[in-house]
Amino acid sequence: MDFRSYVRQHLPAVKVVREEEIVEELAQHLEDLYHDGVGSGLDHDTAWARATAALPNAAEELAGALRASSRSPASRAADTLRAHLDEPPRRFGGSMLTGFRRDLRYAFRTMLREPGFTAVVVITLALGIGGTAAMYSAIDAILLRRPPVADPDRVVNAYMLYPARVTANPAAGDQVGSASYPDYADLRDSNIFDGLAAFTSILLTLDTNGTPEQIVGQVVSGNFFDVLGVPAVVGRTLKPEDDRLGSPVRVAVLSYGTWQRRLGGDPNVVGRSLSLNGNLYNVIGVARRGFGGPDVDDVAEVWVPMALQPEVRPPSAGALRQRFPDLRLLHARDVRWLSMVGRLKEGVSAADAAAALDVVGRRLQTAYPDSNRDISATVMRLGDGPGLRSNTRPLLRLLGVAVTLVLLIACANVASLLLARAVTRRREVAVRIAIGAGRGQLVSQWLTEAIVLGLIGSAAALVVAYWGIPILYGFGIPEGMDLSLNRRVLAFTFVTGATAGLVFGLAPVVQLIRSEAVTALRDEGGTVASGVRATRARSVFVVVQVALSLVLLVGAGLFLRTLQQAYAIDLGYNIDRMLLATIEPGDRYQPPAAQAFYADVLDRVNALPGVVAAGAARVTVLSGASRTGAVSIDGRPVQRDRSNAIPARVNVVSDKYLDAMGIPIVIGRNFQRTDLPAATRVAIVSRSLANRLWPNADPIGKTLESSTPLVVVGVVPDTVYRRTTDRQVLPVYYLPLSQNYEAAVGLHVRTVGDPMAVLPAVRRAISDVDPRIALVRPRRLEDEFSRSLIAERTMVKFVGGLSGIALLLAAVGLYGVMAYATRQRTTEIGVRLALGASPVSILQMIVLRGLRLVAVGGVLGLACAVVAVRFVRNLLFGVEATDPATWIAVSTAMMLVGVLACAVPARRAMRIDPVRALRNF
Amino acid sequence: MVLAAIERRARHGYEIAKLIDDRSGGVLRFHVASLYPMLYRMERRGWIDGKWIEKAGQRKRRYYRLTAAGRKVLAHQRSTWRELLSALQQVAGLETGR
Repeated sequence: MDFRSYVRQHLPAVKVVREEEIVEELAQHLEDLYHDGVGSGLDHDTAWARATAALPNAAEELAGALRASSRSPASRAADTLRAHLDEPPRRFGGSMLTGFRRDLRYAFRTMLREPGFTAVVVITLALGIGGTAAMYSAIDAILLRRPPVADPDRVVNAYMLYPARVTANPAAGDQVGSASYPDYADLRDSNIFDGLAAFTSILLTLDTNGTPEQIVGQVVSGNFFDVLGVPAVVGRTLKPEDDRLGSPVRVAVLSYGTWQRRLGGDPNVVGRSLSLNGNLYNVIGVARRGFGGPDVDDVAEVWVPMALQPEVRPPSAGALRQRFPDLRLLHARDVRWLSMVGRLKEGVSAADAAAALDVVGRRLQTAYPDSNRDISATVMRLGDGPGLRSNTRPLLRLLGVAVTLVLLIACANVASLLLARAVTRRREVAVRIAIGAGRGQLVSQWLTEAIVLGLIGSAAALVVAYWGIPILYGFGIPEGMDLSLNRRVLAFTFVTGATAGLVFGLAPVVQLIRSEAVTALRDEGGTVASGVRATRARSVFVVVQVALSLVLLVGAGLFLRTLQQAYAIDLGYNIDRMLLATIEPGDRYQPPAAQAFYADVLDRVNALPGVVAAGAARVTVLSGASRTGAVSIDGRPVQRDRSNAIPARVNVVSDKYLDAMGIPIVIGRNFQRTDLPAATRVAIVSRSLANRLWPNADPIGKTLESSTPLVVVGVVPDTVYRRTTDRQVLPVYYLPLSQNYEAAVGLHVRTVGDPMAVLPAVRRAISDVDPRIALVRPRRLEDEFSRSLIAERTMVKFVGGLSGIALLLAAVGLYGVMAYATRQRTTEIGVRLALGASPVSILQMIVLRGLRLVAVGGVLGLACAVVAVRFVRNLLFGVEATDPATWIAVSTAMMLVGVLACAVPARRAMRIDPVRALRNF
Repeated sequence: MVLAAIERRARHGYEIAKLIDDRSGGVLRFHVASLYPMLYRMERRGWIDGKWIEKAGQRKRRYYRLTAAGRKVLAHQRSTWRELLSALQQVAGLETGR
C-alpha cells in the first residue's frame, strides 16, 4: 500500500520542476483520506477505493494543470499578467482553441442580437476600409509590385541625359530621353553593365483568320530577355542570334496572357506561325507568366527582334520617311526612339553606373558633335525615370493619406459606438465578473467581437473597393493595367480590418480595465460616473473626427474650385460645335501633291452645308500633345546651347484654322494661299510672344528667329494650348501648313449644329478626293476638353466622395454622443424644465455643447489643413491653397452639419416631460 | 473559499479540503485533481505561500499560508460575493420583509 508509487503510476509523465514534492504531497493527501476512511470504520478495500477514486479519472487534467503551473519564464510572465486580470490560466492547445471558439460563438450571437448596431458598424467599416483597399490595389500595382524580372534590384533604366540649359524649358531641370540605336550600341559595349538591352513599344496588326486586330508589342534587342532574366515557360526566349542585322529571322515570343487568351494555351505553340503586320512570324516561345515588359505599365503581348525594325517600327511619315527611304533607323545616331534597360554588375551601385555612363556619353559628344552635342547618358532605378510610377507617385501618396484619414474616422466612429454599447453592457459585465469570468476572459471576448466585426467590415469593404477601383483609372492609370482585387489586396484588406478591429476594440477594453466592475451592479450611481467617462472619451473621438474630415473637406473644396476654374477658364477659342478628325495621307503622296490634296479636301469641306469654317492643324489643342520650339530673344539665330532662346509652342495650321477655331487676328493678317514654299517664310505669333520679343514696337514685319528666320505677319491673342490646366503657359506661334508640310493633320470643322451630323458628308468629301484615305478618330472638341480635365474631375469625385463619407461619419459620431449624453441627463433636464427653464434654453444648451466639440475639432482640423494643403498645391489650378472662400465655406458647412447632428437630440430633450423624468428620479 | 480556509493559520492540503467539506456540510467537496492545481496556481500568483514543515510527532508536510496579497484578494472577493449574494437574494426574493 504505497500511495507514492500509486500516484506516480497514475500521473502520466508530468516532467515538472517540483515533481518529487508534488507526488509526495498528493500521496499524503490520498493516505490521509484512506486513514480517515479506516478510522470511520471502513474496511481496507473500501477505504482504498474511496481514497483513490478521484485520481485515475482526473489524472490527465491534473497532469496538464501541474505542467502548466511550472512553465518557462515567458509563459510565467503571461501567467502573471493573466493573474492580474484575475483569470484562471488557459491550458494547452485544445482548451485554448475551445476558449477561442467560445469567444467566437459569443461574438456572433451578440451581433445577431443587435442587427442594427452590427449593420451600422459594418457599413462604417466597409466605407473606411473599402477606400483603403481600392487605393491599395493601385498603390500595389503601380508602386509596390516588383517587375517580374530576376533580381530586380540590379535592373536599371538607362537614358540619354539633356542638361537643363539645352532643353526647350530650362526651368524644369535636366531631362532624360530615349537613345538612338548607335548610342545604345556604344553604351552597351562600354562594359558598364552585365548587359544592356534596348526596346520600344509598338503597335502591331495581328491577323487571326482574316480579322485584323491591333495589339501592343515590343521590338527588343536580342539580349533583352537575358538582361532581364525572364525565362520562357514554353520554348525559348529571344537570343542575340535572332537579332542579326542583315539576315533577320521573323521570330516572335508571346506573352503568357496572349498564349492563353488568343491561342488557348496550345502546348504545341512553338513553331506555329502568326501574321503580324502582314508577315508570318515563327513563334519560338512564351515568356514567364505576368511579364509584359520591364515597366509596371508595360502590357506587351509579343516581342520581336530589333533587326526587324523597318517592318515593325518604320519612321513615321513625313520628314524622317523622306530621309530614310529604306526605313532603316538603326544606323541613325540622331534619331532617338529607344528605351534602355540594363543589369548592373554585381557590387556596382546605380550611382557608379551613372558616373561611368556619363564618361561614355561625353566621349560620344566629342566623337559625334553633330548628333550628340551636349547629350550625355545616365541611369535611374526602375520606375524612377519618367513614366507611370514617377508620374503617379505623389498623387497615390496623397490619396493614400486621404483614404487612411477616412479609415481613422471610421475607426473612431466604431470605437465610439462600442464605448456607448459597453456602457449599456455594464450589467452583463458585472454579472459575468461576479459569477467568475475573469477580466482577461472579457477582454479576449470583446477583442474577439471587435476583430470579427473588423473582418466582416473587410468583406463588405471588398464590395466598396470593387466598385471604387474603376474610378481610379481616371487618374491616368493605363486601361491595360490590372487593378483587380488580387490576393495581395485581399490580404491587405483583411489585415487592415483585423487591425482596425483591434484598435477600436481597445477603447471599451481600456474602459473596462479602468473601471470597478462591481459598482455597476448597483444602480444608476455607478453607471453615471463611468458613463460620463465614456462620454468624455467619445467626445475626444468626435473632435478627432471633425478635425480629420475638415482636412478632407478643405481638400475636396479646393479641388472643386479647381474644376470650376478650369471650366470657367477663357481658352481663347470656342470648343462647342467643333468636329475633330485626323487625315493621314502619309507616304502616298509627295509633299506638293499632298498639299494639293489638303487644299482640295478643305475647300470641299468648307463648301458643305452646315459647316461654318474648316481648317487643319498639326496639333489638336487640349489633346495633351504639343510641339515645342526654341525662339531667339535677341534677334540672333538660336545658339546651339540655346542661351539666347526661350521655349514656345508651335502649331502648323491651314489658312482657315484660326477662323474655324474662332481665334481673332489682333494685328496684321491671317495666312493666305499665297504663302507658298517659294515665298517668304511667315509666322503668326501670340500676343505674349510679341510682347516678350518686341515690347514697344509693332511686331508685323519683324523677323522671328526660330530654327529658321520667319517674318511675322500677324498677332493673335494667347490661347490655352496643351491642356486646360497647363500651369506653365508658354507663348505660341503658328506656321502655315502651305509652307511646312505635315504627313498627317487634324481636321477642325466648325459646324452650325451637332458636329457629328456633318461627319458623313465630311467622309464623303474626303473619299471623293481619294478613296484610299480614311478619316481617323472623329470626335468633338468638347470631348477633348472634358478628357483634358479627367484627372481634375476624378480628383473631385474621389476626394469629394471621401470627404462626404468623412463628414457623414463625423455627423453620426456627433449625433451618437449628443443623443447619449442627452439621454443620460434626462432627469436633470426634467428638473430644469420643472423649475421653469424654457425649452428653447434647453435646446440652446445642448446645441452649444455639441458645437463646442465641433469648434474644437474645427480649429484643430483647420490647423492640420494648413499643413496638409501644402502637399496639394501643385494639383490646384486657378485657386490658391489658402483660398479664403473655400476655407470659410467648408468651415461653415461643418458647423451646419454639427448643428443638424445636435438638433435631433436637442429637440428630443425639449420635449421631455418633466413629470415623467422626475418620476424616475 | 480556499483562501478563507487558511485565513487564520497555515494548513496543509488535506486539511483545507476537509475544512471546506466540513464547513459547507459536505455540499462543497474538493478532489485531489482540482484542489492541488488550484493551490499551485494561487501560490504562483503570490496569494499563498507553501512550505514543507516538520511538526513534532508528524511527518514533513506542506503547509499553505495566506500572504498579504492573498489577504487583499480575499477581502475583495468577499465584498464581491457579498454584493452578488445580496443582489441574488433580492432578485430571487429570498429575503423576507420585502
